[in-house]
Amino acid sequence: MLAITVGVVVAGLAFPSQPLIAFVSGLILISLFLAFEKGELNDWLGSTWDFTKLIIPLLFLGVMVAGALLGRPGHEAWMPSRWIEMAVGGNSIWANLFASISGAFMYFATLTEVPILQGLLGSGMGKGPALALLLSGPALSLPSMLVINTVLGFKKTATFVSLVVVMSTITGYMFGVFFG
Amino acid sequence: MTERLKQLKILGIMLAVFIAAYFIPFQSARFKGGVLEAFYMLQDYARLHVLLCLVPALFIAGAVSVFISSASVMKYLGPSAKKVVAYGVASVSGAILAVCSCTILPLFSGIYKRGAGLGPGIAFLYSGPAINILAIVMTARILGLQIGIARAVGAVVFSIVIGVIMQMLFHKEELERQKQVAGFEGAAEARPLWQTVIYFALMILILIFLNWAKPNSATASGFMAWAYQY
Repeated sequence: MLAITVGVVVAGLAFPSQPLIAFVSGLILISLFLAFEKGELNDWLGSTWDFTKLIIPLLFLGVMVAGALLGRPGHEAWMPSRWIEMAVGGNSIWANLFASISGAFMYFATLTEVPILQGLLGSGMGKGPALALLLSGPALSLPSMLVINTVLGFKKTATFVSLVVVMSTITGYMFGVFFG
Repeated sequence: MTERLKQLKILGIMLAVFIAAYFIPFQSARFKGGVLEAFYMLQDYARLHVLLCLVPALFIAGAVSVFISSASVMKYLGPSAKKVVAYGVASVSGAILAVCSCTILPLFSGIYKRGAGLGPGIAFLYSGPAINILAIVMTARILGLQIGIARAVGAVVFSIVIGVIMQMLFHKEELERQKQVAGFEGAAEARPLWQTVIYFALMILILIFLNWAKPNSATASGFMAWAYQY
């Protein structure tokens, strides 16, 4: 522990204009420290690594797909911004409903909703529909609906899905009215 | 038969590639622009978000999953637990348990089949993927603090409201089901509470050390989970 602190402080003092150097050396020192520990501290590094393997490849792929389709904010890519503005621009009830229904059915791999929404917002999506999509998106997807259906049965699943869609639409709309 | 199916699949893939190669307008400025945008966006993420946001959040998520056992959370969702406690735990436990919607589904069907109420079960199912630490931190950082907070608050409120509505709508069926399930055995705590507290204090201490030498304003803004360190 002491060695880590000393290492980070030294790195911070040596490169005061480059805080990232101290930060990264801290990360490396801690990882090394954890790697040679036993028990739960070692498990900590292990499960961090498991999450990393699960998330980083998907996220980077999602970032690239979002970049190719939607571009960075202010830059147009494959999908014309005009289409996005037509479907989810502004803050109409329809834009919110469209965003929340497409969010409910679309499958977002872990965290990929963030770059995709960044691209959509940059291409003219309204803030209200963005929140509607965030509220209905990660919780539901077509594959997850099928799984929930086998556990709960059709009636309860359909009720659950429609509740999510309706509430996301309303909340997105309100958010757009007050903060958009 | 399966052999023929396999060959057909290969043919299908070939056809798809051929059609794509034939028709995609590789020459057009829009296509080239899109390819470049993909790499620009990747670089943006690599430069701005990975080291200061994603990596620390991964460490926190890893710590949470090791130091808090899922069994100790699950026991609060059982039919014998108080309703307020059950909904409260269900609506925030996603932050602790899940990083991916794919881990929520098995957990949900597990607790539901073992007798958790429909309401808390649904609350857990809804909030789980929506409020995990990584998702909230990334949302606030990249899409703006406003949307990040709205997402976190919305997810918690939604999960409780939707859970309660579902419980009311299917009240009768629920009573029937509760009679049939055998019971919900709570798992014993693996270690006493004070120890968990110490582990977390240790982790926070490490994270403070990690940040001591770099008061970086870029991190400070939007990184809610670490707000207390600044």
